[in-house]
Amino acid sequence: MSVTEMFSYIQGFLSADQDVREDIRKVVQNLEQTAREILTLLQSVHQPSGFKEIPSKCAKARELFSNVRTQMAELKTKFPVEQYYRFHEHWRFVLQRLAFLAAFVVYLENETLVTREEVAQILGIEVVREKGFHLDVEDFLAGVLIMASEL
Amino acid sequence: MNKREGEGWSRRNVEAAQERDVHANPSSAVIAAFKVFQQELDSRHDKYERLVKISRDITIESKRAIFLLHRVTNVPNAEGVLNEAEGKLDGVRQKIGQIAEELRGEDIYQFHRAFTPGIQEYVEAISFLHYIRHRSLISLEEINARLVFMNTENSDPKGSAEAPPSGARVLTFQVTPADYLLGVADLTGELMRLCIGSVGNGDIDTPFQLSQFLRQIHDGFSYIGNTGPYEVSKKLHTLRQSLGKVEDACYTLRVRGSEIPKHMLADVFCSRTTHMDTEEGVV
Repeated sequence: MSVTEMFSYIQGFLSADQDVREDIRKVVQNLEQTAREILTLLQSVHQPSGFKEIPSKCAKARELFSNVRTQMAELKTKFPVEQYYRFHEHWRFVLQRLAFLAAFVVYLENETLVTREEVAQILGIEVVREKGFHLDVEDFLAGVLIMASEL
Repeated sequence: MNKREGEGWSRRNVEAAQERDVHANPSSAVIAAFKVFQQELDSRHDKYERLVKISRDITIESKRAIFLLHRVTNVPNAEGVLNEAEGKLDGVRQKIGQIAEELRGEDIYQFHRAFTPGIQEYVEAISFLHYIRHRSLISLEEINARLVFMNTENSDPKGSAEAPPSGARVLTFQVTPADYLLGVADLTGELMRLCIGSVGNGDIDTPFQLSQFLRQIHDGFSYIGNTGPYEVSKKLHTLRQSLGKVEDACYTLRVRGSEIPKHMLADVFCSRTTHMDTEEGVV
């Protein structure tokens, strides 16, 4: 293979990679928007008036989480499942936020610490890497920590 | 959040969980959950560290092979040097086999940062050897074809030509196009040194071959532009400098070569290259 052919091949590979990342970024933007909506909803509990409305806010948050599940389902289709960590950086931040929001809702509902499995269920993803798009331990813990400071 | 922070945070969480004012049962469930997290994080971190160690060994051995290969112009026994270098790289390939073993069943990208330096150094070394032998650029396919490892039940090392017994496992390691690209970028620096070195030894053909070859590689990188990983842009700058030095050497040879006795050529180039280093790189 000549030098030119080699670089041509690599360029093809790299631009295909860039296209995938573009697609992922678009879906992640939608996820971030939903996360912001849930956050705004839940942050009102810090105010004295909001405190009494906690159950209704949690219910509303749960509804918004179904949007999250839909968007997650879309995200999963954008790349081959075994390359999760190749693109992990794109959604790490928003996933941590969502883990925090899920943990916060569960806490507001029954004052317990949410489990990894519960968060995964709320977000519509797996816990174990082999099963598919999963919640990484570190991202789950980061979410819990954000909640700790929120509390 | 890097791995060390993750571990520290998980331990802090264990303590925080113990201090939290909750009922006894949920509390121990939480602590148990965190113990699981801790184990997961620890084993992941340990694997990462093992891969970093292997990567370091690969880097060292590959660099030694490269230093060895630079001597090929000075020494009458070129084939001996090449074989010795090949031997060193065989050792490196075995180490890569260890990486493949560690990565079995894992997502390779999760640990990519651990071993990418070593792999880039290996690409640099193997492509250097390939150029010296064949005056061409080794392809990614050729590199990956040699990174196939057989692992039989009786731990028979790779190299068996017959059909593998039923207990054999085949492991492969695939160098990514990005790592290949970065390794080739580093290769150009070595080629530049080879050029200057060969001129010093009175070899006036190699510089011109190298000039053409480096020009092709440079054009390849220009074609890729910003599409590649960001480190490529940094290396492109160094590549242009190397190309400049090589072309300058050829220019001097062509224009002044007939006037200068061979044994003085080396001195001429030493002074020219130091002069070039002090001025701004010209694009």
